[in-house]
Amino acid sequence: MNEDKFLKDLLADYHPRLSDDRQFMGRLQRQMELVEEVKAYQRAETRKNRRLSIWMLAVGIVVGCMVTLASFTLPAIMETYVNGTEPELILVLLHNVRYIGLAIGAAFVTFSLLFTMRMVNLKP
Amino acid sequence: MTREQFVNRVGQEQAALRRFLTALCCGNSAEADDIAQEALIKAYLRSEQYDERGKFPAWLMKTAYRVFIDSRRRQKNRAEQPIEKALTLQGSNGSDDTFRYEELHSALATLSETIRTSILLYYMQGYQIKEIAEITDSSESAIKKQLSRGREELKNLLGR
Repeated sequence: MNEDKFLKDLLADYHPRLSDDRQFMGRLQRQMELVEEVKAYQRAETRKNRRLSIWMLAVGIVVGCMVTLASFTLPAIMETYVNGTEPELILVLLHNVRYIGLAIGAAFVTFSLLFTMRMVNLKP
Repeated sequence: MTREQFVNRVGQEQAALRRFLTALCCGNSAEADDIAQEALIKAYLRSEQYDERGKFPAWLMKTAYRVFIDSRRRQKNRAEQPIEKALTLQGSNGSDDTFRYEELHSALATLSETIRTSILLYYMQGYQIKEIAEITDSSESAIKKQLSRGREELKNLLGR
């Protein structure tokens, strides 16, 4: 009990000289203003990223659909361009041009969706 | 809580917070001010999550205690400024206090950070054991042990 009273008195009497209150609060308010500036910048960046991601989605879907539709209009094999001297790889590509076009279209759509999701989920 | 409300409430509490941190930093008022600034900015960033039903000073103390512990960990990782050396790094206006509270600061410096925190929150700030347990994320029995050990050590050091 005596120890308690002694410690209470000792620490109640502890009044170290602190720096000026107004100076301290001024420093704090300046830091708070900087925090607000950073927050405003982050909000603007988030808005910009969202707009950009919506554009990316639209472009990806449009290009993907165009490539997909175009792939169906291509002939199965471009006989006119084959003269028998092409490497085998080129021949394989020419024979499967529709499927390649389809894959490219699907890739455009997939990547635009993935990119959009990533951008939208970016946290400030 | 709006920015104005936060500033008003901090204005009322900052002196008690800085007094507590100065004792926790064993008289190093410059370090205490830096910790207080960092803690208050962290509290400001989280002020939207603050539950108005809670006690604002205790919430600030909790934030300040965490910042203090993080700061000490960083110091230990960098292996610089042992506590004895830090005692000599007083703030620009702390020269009078250095002599006035020299014995107290030296005694506090020998206590572990957790014991020092419990002692100061209990005897200087007047918090209850339950509140100290919440501030320091410890159990009530752990706080009781720390208080008992701290009392004993201070009694020996201060010759009472």
